[in-house]
Amino acid sequence: MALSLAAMSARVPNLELVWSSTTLGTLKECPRKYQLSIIEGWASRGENIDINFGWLYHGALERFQRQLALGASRTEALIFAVQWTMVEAAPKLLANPSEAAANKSLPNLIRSIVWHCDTFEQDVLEQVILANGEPAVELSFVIEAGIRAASGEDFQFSGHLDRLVRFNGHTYWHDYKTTKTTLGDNYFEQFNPDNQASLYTLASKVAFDVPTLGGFIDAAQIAVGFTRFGRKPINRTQGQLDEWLRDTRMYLAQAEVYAVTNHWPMNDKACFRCNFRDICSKDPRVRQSFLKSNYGERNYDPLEVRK
Amino acid sequence: MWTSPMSDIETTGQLLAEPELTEIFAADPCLLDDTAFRKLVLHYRAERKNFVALESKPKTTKAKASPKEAPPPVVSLSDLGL
Repeated sequence: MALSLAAMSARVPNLELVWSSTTLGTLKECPRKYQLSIIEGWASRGENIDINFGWLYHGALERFQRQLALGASRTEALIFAVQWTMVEAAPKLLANPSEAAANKSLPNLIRSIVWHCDTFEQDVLEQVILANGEPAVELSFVIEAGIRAASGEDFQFSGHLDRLVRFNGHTYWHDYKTTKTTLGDNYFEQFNPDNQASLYTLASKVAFDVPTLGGFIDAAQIAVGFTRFGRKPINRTQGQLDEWLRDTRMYLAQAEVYAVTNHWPMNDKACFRCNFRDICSKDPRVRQSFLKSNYGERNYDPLEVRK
Repeated sequence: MWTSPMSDIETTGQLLAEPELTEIFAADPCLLDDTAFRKLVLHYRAERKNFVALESKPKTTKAKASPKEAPPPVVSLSDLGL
């Protein structure tokens, strides 16, 4: 079991009750992929590097913002964020990775963190400070979905907002992304419509009582010799959020059917660039042995609180 | 008054004195002190300044492409003995 037991139904094996944008998004993409990556916890090696790189990038920027709010100068805050990253990165990232993961190296990570903080030195997005004086960064949430499973248990949504910011008198969630892709309109179009952006807008309203219109995506294009940055606002109307919730109700009902029947059907129209294509293209009898020899295992806890 | 939380991260063993960039990345981070991390920050700051300066330089227009070469002569099937 790779999904934490606390997120699972006590009555229906393999029925997830606490859904994050990652788990729900994977289910929507392909139930079989959801079974392999979320329920069973298989991950390709390249995927683990991507996850670690993104996690460290988020963690460093969060620490940078936190130290700034505590009164550090930008340089002091950045030095601390870099130190934290270097300590946490070993042995998750290598100074000289293989060619395939060359852009996700430790030097590229440190460069991207420093360049991000300097690029947005005069930022129009203002950090929200919570009533307790803490900056609104890495906000973990668990909210009731208002949806009940046939088993009688209630579904919940969980996740982590990178931070809340103010712009033109409104509050927005703010999310950091890293990518190899060039940051044109094509890149940002993927967030509208988008599962995570809709969930984050809903969570901002419910968990943090913020009448938000949406959020901002800050994307970093990580190349071997440089990092470029792009930012776009992502808006959601109440009608769009209501629609997303109605759709999600149907997806969760389907998930329960898959769990009860213990069959997660393959969406064979979503195999392009899927990490499990090699597995699903093999005869079902040999898939398990290929998974064991070619994939690593990872655990996932949608209820984890980031500190 | 801000105080650095760096002291929360314990250093073990003897610290490296004035390490080079490659040594910093190769070293156990717990053997590095404030000056090594500052060096990283200053290095990448300078690198970004160079990158931004390079990006903001007006792009030189490419030299006009030379006229297309004449297309290869048409070979008829009879030339090939077919």
